[in-house]
Amino acid sequence: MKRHNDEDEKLARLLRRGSFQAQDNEWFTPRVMNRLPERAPKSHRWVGNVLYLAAIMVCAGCWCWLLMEGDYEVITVRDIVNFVILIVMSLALVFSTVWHIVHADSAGDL
Amino acid sequence: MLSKLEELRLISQCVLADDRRAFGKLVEAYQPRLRRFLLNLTMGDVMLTDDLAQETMVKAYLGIRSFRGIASFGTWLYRIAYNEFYSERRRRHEESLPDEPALEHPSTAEQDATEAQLTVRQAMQSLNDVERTAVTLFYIEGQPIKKIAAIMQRPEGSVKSSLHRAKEKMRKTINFENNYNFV
Repeated sequence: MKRHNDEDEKLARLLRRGSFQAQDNEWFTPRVMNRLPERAPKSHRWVGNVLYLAAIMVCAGCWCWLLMEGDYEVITVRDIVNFVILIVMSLALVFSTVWHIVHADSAGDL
Repeated sequence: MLSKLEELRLISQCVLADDRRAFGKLVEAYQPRLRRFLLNLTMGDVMLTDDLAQETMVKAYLGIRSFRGIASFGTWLYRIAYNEFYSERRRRHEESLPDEPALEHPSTAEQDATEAQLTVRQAMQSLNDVERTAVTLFYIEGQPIKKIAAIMQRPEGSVKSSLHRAKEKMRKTINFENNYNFV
C-alpha cells in the first residue's frame, strides 16, 4: 500500500508527532554488552595450532636435510637458491607463528 | 545512521571474529529506532521497553550467524523485537498480569504530554496488538508493507487489512475530515 493520498501523509505526521519517543539512554549499550555470554573457546584455533606445528616440523626437517645431505665443498648456485628459499620460508613461518600466538592471547582464547 | 557498507562490515566482524566492539556499534546505531518501536507497542512502558530491547539485542548477537542479509539488519531486529514483545504478552496473559499501563493512572510522561499526544495515544490504545504493530511500523517507523509483512510474518494482504481496520478505529478519536484535528 503506497502512501498515495494526503490522508495517509497527514496521519503519519500526526502519529509521529503524538507517538511515544524514546529518551536517550547512555547506559543501554553498556547493559547489553554486559549481558552478552562469555566467549566460547574456538575449536578452529586448535586446527591452526596443529597446522603451525606441522609447518615448523617440516621446516626443521628441510633444514636438517639441507645441512646433512648437502655437499658443500663446491657451493653451487642451486645450493644458494635452496638456502635463500629456506631462510625466507623460515622467517615467514616465525613471524606468522608469533602473530598467531599474540593475536590468540589478545582474544584470550588460545 | 550506518551506511549499508559499514553495516555489512560490522556484521562480518561479529560473525567471523566475534568482534564485540563491532556489535556495540550496531547496538548504538539501532537502539533508538528499536526502543521507539517497542515503546509504542508497550504504550509507553519505559522499563518493559528497555528490557525487551536488551533481550532483542542479546538474541540478535546470539543468532547473528543465522542473519543471511536478505532483509536489512534493521528489519531483522524489528522481527526479533516483535517476537519478544509477543512472547512477553503471552507470558503476562498466562500469569494474568496487567498488559500495559492504564491511562487512568497517568505517568509523569502522560502528565507532560500535550493534548495532541494524549489523543494519539488514546487512538493507539483503541487498537489491538496486531493493528498497533502495523500502524507503528507503517506510519511511525515508515516501513513499507513488504517489510512489515516480513517482520510480522503475515501476508501483505493481512497487513493492509490491519491498517485499514486501525484507521477505521482511529477515526473515532481523530477527526479525519477536518484536517486531522482531534474530536
